[in-house]
Amino acid sequence: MNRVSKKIILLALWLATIGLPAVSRANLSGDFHGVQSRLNDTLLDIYSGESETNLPAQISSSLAALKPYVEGYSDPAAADVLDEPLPAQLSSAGQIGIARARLEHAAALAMLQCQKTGNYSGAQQWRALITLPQFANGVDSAMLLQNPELAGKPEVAQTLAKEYLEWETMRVRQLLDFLQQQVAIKAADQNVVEANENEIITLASFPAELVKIAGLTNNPAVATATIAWNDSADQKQKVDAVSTWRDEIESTLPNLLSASDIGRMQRLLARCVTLVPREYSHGVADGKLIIPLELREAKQFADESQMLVNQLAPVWKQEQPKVYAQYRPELTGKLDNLQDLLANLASQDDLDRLGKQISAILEDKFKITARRPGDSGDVIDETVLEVRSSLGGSLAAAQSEQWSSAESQRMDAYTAFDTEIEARVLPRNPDLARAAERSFLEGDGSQLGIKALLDRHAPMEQLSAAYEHTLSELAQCTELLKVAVSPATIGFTAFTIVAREGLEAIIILTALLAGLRGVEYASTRKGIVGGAWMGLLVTAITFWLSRTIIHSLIRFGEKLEAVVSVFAVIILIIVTNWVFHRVYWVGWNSKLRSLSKSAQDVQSTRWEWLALLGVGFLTVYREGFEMALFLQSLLLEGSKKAVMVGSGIAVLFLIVLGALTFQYGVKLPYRKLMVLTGLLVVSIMITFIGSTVRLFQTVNWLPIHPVYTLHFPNWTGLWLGLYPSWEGLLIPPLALVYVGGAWLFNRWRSQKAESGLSAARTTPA
Amino acid sequence: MKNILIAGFCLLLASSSSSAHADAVTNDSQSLDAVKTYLVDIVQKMDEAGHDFVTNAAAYQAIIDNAQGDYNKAAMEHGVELGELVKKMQADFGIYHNHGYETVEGIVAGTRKMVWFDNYLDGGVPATEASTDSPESPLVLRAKDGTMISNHNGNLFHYVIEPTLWGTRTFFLKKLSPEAQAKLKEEYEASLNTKLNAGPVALPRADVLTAASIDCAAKLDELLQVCKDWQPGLGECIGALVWMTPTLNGYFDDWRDSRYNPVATGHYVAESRVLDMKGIMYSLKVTCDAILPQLQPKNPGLADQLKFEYDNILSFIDRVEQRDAKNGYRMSIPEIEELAEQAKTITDQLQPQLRQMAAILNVEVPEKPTLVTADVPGQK
Repeated sequence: MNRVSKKIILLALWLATIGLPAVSRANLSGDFHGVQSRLNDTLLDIYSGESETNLPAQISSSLAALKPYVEGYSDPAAADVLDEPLPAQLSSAGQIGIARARLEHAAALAMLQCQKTGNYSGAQQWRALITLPQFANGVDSAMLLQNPELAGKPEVAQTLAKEYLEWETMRVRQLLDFLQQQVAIKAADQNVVEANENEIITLASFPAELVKIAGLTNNPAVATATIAWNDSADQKQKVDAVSTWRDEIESTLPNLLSASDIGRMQRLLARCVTLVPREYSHGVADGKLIIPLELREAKQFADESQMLVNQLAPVWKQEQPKVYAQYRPELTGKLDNLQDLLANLASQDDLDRLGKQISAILEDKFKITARRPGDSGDVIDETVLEVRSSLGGSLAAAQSEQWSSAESQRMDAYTAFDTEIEARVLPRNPDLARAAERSFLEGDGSQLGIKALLDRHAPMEQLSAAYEHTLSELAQCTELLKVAVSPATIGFTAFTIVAREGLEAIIILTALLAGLRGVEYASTRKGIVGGAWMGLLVTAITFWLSRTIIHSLIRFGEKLEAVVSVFAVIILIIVTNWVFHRVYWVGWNSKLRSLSKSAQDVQSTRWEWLALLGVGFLTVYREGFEMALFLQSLLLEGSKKAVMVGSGIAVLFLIVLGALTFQYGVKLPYRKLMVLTGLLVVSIMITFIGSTVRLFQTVNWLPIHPVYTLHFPNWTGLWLGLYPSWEGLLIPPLALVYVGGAWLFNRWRSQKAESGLSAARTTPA
Repeated sequence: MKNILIAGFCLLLASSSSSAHADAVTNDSQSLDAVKTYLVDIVQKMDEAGHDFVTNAAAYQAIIDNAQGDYNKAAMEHGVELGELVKKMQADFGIYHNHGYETVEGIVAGTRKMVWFDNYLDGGVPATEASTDSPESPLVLRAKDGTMISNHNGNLFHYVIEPTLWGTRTFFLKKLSPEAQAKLKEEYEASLNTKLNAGPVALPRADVLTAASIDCAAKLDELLQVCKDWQPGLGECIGALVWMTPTLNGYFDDWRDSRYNPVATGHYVAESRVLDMKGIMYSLKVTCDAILPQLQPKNPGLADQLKFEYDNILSFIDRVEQRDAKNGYRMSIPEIEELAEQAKTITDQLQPQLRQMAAILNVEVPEKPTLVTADVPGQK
């Protein structure tokens, strides 16, 4: 057989194989849909009160009609699903529920089998038979199967299996919603419950083969729980029974979330819970509805919270089984209560209290906080990215007329904005924060916000303009926050503090060593210098230790930043006090001198050494300790790189200064340097107090009374610590009052002491 | 030689088994022409009925004019004649609306070039009820003497013609005197050869019917021309499917609500909803059938499924109607809910699959046609 004829035969065979499945394809589609239709019609007959004899056998034989299509497959998984006997003790409605779900699993398994064996058109056909949930996305996998070069790859099998798990997980949730709604409107009877219950349980119990191909590391639990249903029970008992059962089912669903999804959803949950009472306070006053949009928003956040708990349940159950078992029922119960309070327009206090209790469970037991961990700069970048991506998704969903998805993504964007961006912008620029927030919601007088437009299903042009507007507001907020945490500011502050503290240590050491020149004091000098090096080492250890401790508390985000800021302010007060209060300066200096002197007087060499080491150590460590703690505050507020650069330059400056002083004995203008760095420290202290006030406002530890009439440029906050709120304007200048007061007091005391001294001199003995 | 014979046999096998494929793979625009043919054919019939409506309305107007605008006198002298004309105009409405517009609504409301007509004729609501989702009707209808009849107060079919012909809005009616009512009842009984419990108490206003019929015919002329000029594009057709198929859910919700209280909301609502659903879905089925030959060679499984789904929607609507009728329009609540849920499952299924079809055919689904982006006649 020559090559050409071989090719002809191969071509002809190939054409034949394309043509041949046409008949079986039509049969499969017809038979599959025939079975589905028969099951659906039979269920309707049962609901209408018609009873058919020998129904279980009919259902089984319906499923068996599909077996010839899968019998030839090497993997019997699909055939096994169709073959499995239906539980005889179940009602007919329940058996139909099971059969409907099995059809889906069988189609999915057959699809994967076809894909594996290179029968891509078969895979496409089985895939098309799978019932899709609302808003399913199937384009990507469809395109993978279209490409024969890619379609056979194991990654495609994994994608298809994962896609199926996602679809059916969504379907399970939609069926759960349907069942709960039927119970709520009193449309459900025993048959309705059994049909849906069994369909859901069967759908939620994914075949192990599928889970394996999907590559899930966590095997979902098998759903076995049944509804404690009693037709004669009262309405509340029925609602509760289905609700409790739903929790069980949700916790068995596969965890298809990535680690970042889990983090995002957990934060979203914490945010939603926090936002419920807040939105409610805007919408309802004294039990009266004032702004319906706000109340609706609060209800939406409460519903979203419940939904998120359901979605996260499988994750928690696997990752924190004890906490889950102990606190999940309480959490769900409290969220139910929250929804009840909203429905009954309860008092704000009750809502606040319950909101705090739920937040406490999330924070203390599940270790979930609304804020992202990490330094603010990164958090802002990540949040902006998240908000932008959610808004983009929301607009795309609106363009596809998927309004509920558009709204849900808008809410994601809004909660992220509200918690991470707005809270930070509000103390800095209340006008901008308010305008940006409104653009997510109802809008201002001139332009409707995204929420209002989505509610109206507004035309795309209008919607696009609103999203653009929000994104531009977001960009302004980011700009503002970027400036407030700009690396230059952080670097400058780090430089000033490290240089200042180092300078103090150098000056004291210089003063100490000044009187210890000569060979006879060589060992004394060695002792002090050794102590100084030790001080440096312990400073480094202190820095590492405090960093570790703070890192372990990082989940407290800005609350931690606020607390550390207070320490930083205290340190700054001490430092400035040192500058202007001569007693400290002179006192500390003379104490070190006397220590060093007494060390030289001691006879025992060992004690002498220890005392000298102590002098050097204390000289350096006192400054190092302050610096290490202060830098933690900077590290929390700004980026690590900026702190390192600022500190690095300061260290270089100190090395040069140290070399000039100790190595070459150059006399430097220490007093002038001290005054200059002292003034810088005062300016930093004012800025720091301003930022601390802002941080306290950000974490709600201090109220915000915005001054809307004032419009400060960004640099006022950056360099002067002034922000347009009464608290932000009044508290930072108190630092100046303190420093000025201390200086005046010091001067007055000196003058008094001097006049006392001169009076003593002039008074005859 | 042997090899060639084997190859020939294989080719024969291939050609016989794949003949369906070969038939299906037709020229793109040729297959879409079926949509245009269907559309033009129906709109042509609508247009003819519209002009018949003008003739009947003119005859009605002439009788009223001959009675110098005295409706009592006209009823006393030409009662049966007027009744006959109203019946004819109702029949016209059945042709251009129930069996006309409703069967092309899926295409007209789903395409940018024609959506304006949907709003004007069938979809627009009064300005007071309008929202972005339900835009107001631009209809301004004046009588021959310039009197305002309807000023942005709803679409032509459901807010003007239907309430006038079926007497559901008093503003469009002229109440008759008791004598005229009695005379009319007597004449109707004689004409129908049966006893009536009550006769007509009012007659449709002739000026409203005249103005509405002229406007209706004019707009249908314009729509017909637009349809004739229209060259259906693949994206446009897929867009119509993507945007109009989910409307089934809304119709089914109305149907479900009407079934909860069949006496109060009336069997009429349910029946009209079933008719609307069938009409819209049939036009979408025609559109889908026209696209499928292009999908068939690329993804036969999806093509089969889409064909089945649209056929299934229509047969499902029929089955619902049969089931409803079988139960004497008194279905059990679980049955009603399950039917609505099954309808929802069908439409939920379709949207993602239509988007897959668009991706496979490398077509971008256009934005939903709205009045903002619509082509407005005379403003091109």
